[in-house]
Amino acid sequence: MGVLTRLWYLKQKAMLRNLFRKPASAILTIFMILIYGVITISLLINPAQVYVMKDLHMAVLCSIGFSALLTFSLLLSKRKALFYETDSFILFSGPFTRKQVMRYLFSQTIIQSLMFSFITVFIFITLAAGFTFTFPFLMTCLFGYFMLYMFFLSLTDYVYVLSITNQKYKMFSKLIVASLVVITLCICIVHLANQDFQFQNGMWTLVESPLFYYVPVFGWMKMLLFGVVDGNTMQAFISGILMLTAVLIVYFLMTSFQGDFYEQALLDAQEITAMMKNVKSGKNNGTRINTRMHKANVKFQTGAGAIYSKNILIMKKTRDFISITDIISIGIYFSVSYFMDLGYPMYCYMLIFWLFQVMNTSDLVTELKNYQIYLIPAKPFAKLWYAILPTLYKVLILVSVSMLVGGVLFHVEAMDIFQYWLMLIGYVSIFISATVLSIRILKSRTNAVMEQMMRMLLIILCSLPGILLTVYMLINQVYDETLLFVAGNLSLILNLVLSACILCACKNMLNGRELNDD
Amino acid sequence: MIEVEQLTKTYGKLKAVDHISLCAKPYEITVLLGPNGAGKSTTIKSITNLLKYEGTIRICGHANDSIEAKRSFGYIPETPMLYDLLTVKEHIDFISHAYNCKDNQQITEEYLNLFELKEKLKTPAKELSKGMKQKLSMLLALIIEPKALLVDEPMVGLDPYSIEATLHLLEKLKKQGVAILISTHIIDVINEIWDEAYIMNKGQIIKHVFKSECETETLKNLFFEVTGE
Repeated sequence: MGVLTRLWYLKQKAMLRNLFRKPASAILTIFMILIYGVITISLLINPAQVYVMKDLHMAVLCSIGFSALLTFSLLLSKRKALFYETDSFILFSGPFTRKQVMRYLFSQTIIQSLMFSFITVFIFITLAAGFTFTFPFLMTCLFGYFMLYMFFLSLTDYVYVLSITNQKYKMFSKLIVASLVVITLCICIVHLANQDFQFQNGMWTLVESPLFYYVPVFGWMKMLLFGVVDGNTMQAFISGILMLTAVLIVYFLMTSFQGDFYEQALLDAQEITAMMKNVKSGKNNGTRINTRMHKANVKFQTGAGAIYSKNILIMKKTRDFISITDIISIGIYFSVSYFMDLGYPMYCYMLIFWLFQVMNTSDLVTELKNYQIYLIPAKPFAKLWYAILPTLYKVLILVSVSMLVGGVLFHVEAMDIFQYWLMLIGYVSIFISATVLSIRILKSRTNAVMEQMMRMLLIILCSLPGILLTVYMLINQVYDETLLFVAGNLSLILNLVLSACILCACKNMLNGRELNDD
Repeated sequence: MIEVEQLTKTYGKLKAVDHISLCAKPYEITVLLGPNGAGKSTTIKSITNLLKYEGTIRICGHANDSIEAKRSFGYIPETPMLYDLLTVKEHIDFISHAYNCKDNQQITEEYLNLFELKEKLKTPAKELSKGMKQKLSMLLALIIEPKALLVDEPMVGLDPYSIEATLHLLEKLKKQGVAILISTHIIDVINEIWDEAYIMNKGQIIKHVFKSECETETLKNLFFEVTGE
């Protein structure tokens, strides 16, 4: 194990060294640590005057919900691998026993779980802004989430190796997720039945109900946290022991696993590595390596229009108009704003966050990095416009439908829906143009992570005027039709003008040399 | 014709290409030779207008960033950049429409046969082998019937039969009047077909030679002589 421990140590050291290798990367790393550090500390030592969540139970449940989404998506992911290609070659072909390989895998999971638990605790602190926390509580929170992720990530790896040796175990992942969902639903139904099915009030009391503790792992997490909050040491101790035991059981199962999984694990590692390389280099959407394609046709336009036709064809072939993640995200935003009585304006505000997410996964970035479109003999601005158009259509349609459905369910007046719709249209345009601008500024020099962060920063800067207007309206509870109309249009005009300016400034980008130059 | 005058390209303090001038004429195959890091790919990318540079580059008499220039040249990069989910036929349709050359069925048919891609028309690019991807990349550059052709390491990934076929094709294009500029470090392959060669090292052209001037000396020997390797 000494050799593998050393390998693990060297890799972590190399990762840190790489982060600080270039001045830009080092500055950005320190900047990000400072930003998140300052936000966290300020939330802890100087609690906000406004409670983001009215109830600590809700904040805990939301952070648990986030961890559930993350772990379920990993468990259900069709594309899995234990290691990247290089690690696989060294570990599977080197003089290591299966137990050593599994222990090494476990050590990787520790780092990953730590990262996830830090993110989740940060989300929890943000959601629970307004509450004061003790240091032991925060440490318990970190420990709890660490155990939760250790359990699910290790379980994901274990089910994966099991399914390699026997295909029938593949359904275990679905079974685990389904069982947890069914248990949670049963608890909801039992609780609501006790409340005579008074839905809105029932949901509030359910959030505080100890019934949730019966949901394995996730319930134990809540049990642990409220054990500490309520000063119930025995409750905290039992839940902590339960989580630790769960992790140890999976560890034991993994290290004692004797099946032969090397060949398939190596193939999967190669595929995942290729996918990651593609994502990092921006050559294409890495997640599409095994995308199922459908038959589709398109009538190609000529000149720059061919770029648009080509993108529509790809969209039709992949039926990649709306993803499950989009539906889940919008569903969550709606549920949170509806059940917590936050209102339609907050739902619209949340949709702006969804737009962030969509722009990060948009094909627009991939498209602007393929040299083919620079070579096409057409005006650069026309090429830029046609490259943007499919993303613009997609986002516009999804935003409009989400707002309309949300508006109907919230019983909002048609005029108000229209006003908020106008406001969001402004954001759509600013987000798209900021994405173009970030590619224009960053060109091809940086890695994907840095690009995403810079893009985010630019989007925030570009949409700041609009956001400030929206926040003013939300804080002051502006529901006056005239004010809404003025603010909505001001925001829209401001964002549209800014977008047009940005696109004009970037108009030569698709000529080629503007983009690829280092 | 591809004309490059006083091309300089710097990356920070490093001069990747330093005041080079070259010309690839119609009815000729011009070769850009050099060891790794000599500046060949930088030169090619500058010509295709994918890099910012100092100097003047003209393709068929037009500035290389003009629509006319883009319409006139085909570019075959070292690594094919294809759309994974599009089939061979869809790639052809896309390029034909983008370059507005929809009446190219006959020439497309010829290249499909030559590159053995006819049976793969419905195959998505991601399912093609490395060599077949390279062939598709070549086909896309050629169906626009370019007057100038830029080729970066053309034989990488091709089998011996395909290399032979490509060499014949380049000669055929040359006879049709296409100005061909090939960047490579695999000298043996182009030894039979070149007309004019520029040998680069450390960002500069250190030798400009015509085949007609070399009597018994091979390009390979000349290369080792001037680069001192």
